[in-house]
Amino acid sequence: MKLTDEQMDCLKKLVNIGVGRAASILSSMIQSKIRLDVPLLRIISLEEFQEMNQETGNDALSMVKLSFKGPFSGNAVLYFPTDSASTLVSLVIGEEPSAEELDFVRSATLTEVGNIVMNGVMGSIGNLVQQNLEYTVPTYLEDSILNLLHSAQPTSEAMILIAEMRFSVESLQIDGNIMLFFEVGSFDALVASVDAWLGQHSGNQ
Amino acid sequence: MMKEIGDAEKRFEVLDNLPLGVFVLRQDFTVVFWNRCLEDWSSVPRNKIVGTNIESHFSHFKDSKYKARLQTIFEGGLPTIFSSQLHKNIIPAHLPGGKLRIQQTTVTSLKAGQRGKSYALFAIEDVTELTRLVQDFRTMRDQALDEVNERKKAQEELAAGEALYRALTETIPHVIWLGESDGHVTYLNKAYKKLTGRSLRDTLGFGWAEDIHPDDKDTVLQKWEDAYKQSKDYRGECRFRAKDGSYRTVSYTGTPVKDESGKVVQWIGVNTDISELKQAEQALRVANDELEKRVQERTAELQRVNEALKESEERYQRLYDAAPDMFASVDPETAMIRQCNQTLATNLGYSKAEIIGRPIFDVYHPDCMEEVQKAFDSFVKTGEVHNAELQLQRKNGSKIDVILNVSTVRDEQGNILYSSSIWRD
Repeated sequence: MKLTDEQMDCLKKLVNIGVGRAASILSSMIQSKIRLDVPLLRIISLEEFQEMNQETGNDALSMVKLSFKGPFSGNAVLYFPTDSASTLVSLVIGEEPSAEELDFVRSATLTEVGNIVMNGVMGSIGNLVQQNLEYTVPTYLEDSILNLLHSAQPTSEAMILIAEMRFSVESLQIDGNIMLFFEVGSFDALVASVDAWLGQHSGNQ
Repeated sequence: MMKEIGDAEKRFEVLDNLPLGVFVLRQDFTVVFWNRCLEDWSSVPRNKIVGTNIESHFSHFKDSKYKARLQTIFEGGLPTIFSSQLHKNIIPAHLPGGKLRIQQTTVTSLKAGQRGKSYALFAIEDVTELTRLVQDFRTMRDQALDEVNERKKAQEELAAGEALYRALTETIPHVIWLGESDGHVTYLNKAYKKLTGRSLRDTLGFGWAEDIHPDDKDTVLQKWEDAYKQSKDYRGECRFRAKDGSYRTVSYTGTPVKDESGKVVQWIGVNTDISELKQAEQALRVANDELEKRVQERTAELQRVNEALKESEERYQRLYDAAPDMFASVDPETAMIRQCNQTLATNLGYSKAEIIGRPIFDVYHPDCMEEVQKAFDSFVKTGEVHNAELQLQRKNGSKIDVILNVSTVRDEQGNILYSSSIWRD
């Protein structure tokens, strides 16, 4: 399914509003200015996603995952390469990373950081529809992207929205991705919502 | 308000049974439920807090970081997590020891009823124990890492030291061997292969024993066994078969290396090829024996010569004593008789001892003293007297007519050493 530039711009704008809100919350928490950018937003098919992750798909990643249900349903996953996650956690809790693995304290911290980011993004997208979405409590896990995909069991028609994100604190930059798996039909609902939103807001543009 | 609180109490009653701190906030931050666990943790009873604003009890809820995040909950948004690391005490609760419980909080949105706005349900987990375990684990892990690093460093140092020793042992011309506590040889330096020509594979363990001369093997193995049983040094000499098939004499030693408890952990030994030394020793011994033999031979010969000499002297003495002429040797300076033969003594009726030491003039008869003086003067002057006709006087006073002849023996400077006087009856 190919989105129009307008539809893509709209999604990008929504995601940016979401991460902007998350950045301000994170900044107040770590008492240091944190910037969150979304340099790239992509909508791809499951097949394209698998192709994209052929090489690095089995690398261990740190992830925060939650499910949403409502007018459109699916899973939202924020994931980082493990060392990036470690740096991010160290930054937030003000402690040097001591090992590559993330222990309980780190996972809890990362869950909260992921929670804030995903709340921003999902809140923004959720605003598209009049009804509220239902969310599960976010959980933290470490696994490969392909295993995650396998456990989510999306059908071949499922669409995936990937937003590449960059956390910038002072000179430090940490890259991560937020990925939304939409269940069959859900993506169409999202696009419909985008169109409706565009219709409502076209007068303002 | 009272009705709402009553409804909430009924609705959330079941949460009193959870081992979690649970409370419910209305959008205006009024507490509508406060469970038993929280009463216990915070010492704030339910009837004192329900219906009041949470900010009046816990002022940090005024903080914008809570407000902004809770706002989405009241709007039916996503669950929010306040992790233990960033928000240790959302509702300060003391442990019996006085420390604060470390808390991890999940806030979820709950439909409040017909009004449309949602409640925020706080579920607070006490993760003090878990955090402590994690911290203990971290400390342990850091310690373990330190130890690993230290051990690694020590190993590297050891390896460097070992490399040095290895290099040393490979270059010295003695055989160096290392064995396990049971004596199995695990290391032999190059000198061993150089000596026997056999590969390490064949000689490690007890393979080296095959290189010992069959006649020496049992002794060496017995010595090793005794040393092993007593954990003591051992040493000896034996013959090793060299790569050219000859046997080389080798001195060997073995020393146990013990740990702090005195247990043998390793054996170390040095074997030295002493064949050349042995050969030199042998050559020296042969030379010495030869010398000894020659000395003995020489001594025997000397003895023989001495004996012959003595014999000839005796013979001469016998001849001298038994000669028909009378002989005497006179000191030219003192005119004393130094020596005489038996014939002289017998003819004059004295013993030899009575004559020796007397002046020569005593043996002459007083009638010929003038001629005697003349003859003596001639003797002193020329060392010689020829056919002087004189008379000797016997002990009993009787005369003997004699003819005197004197000859002298002189040194290189011409001084008279002694004279030989011959009287013929």
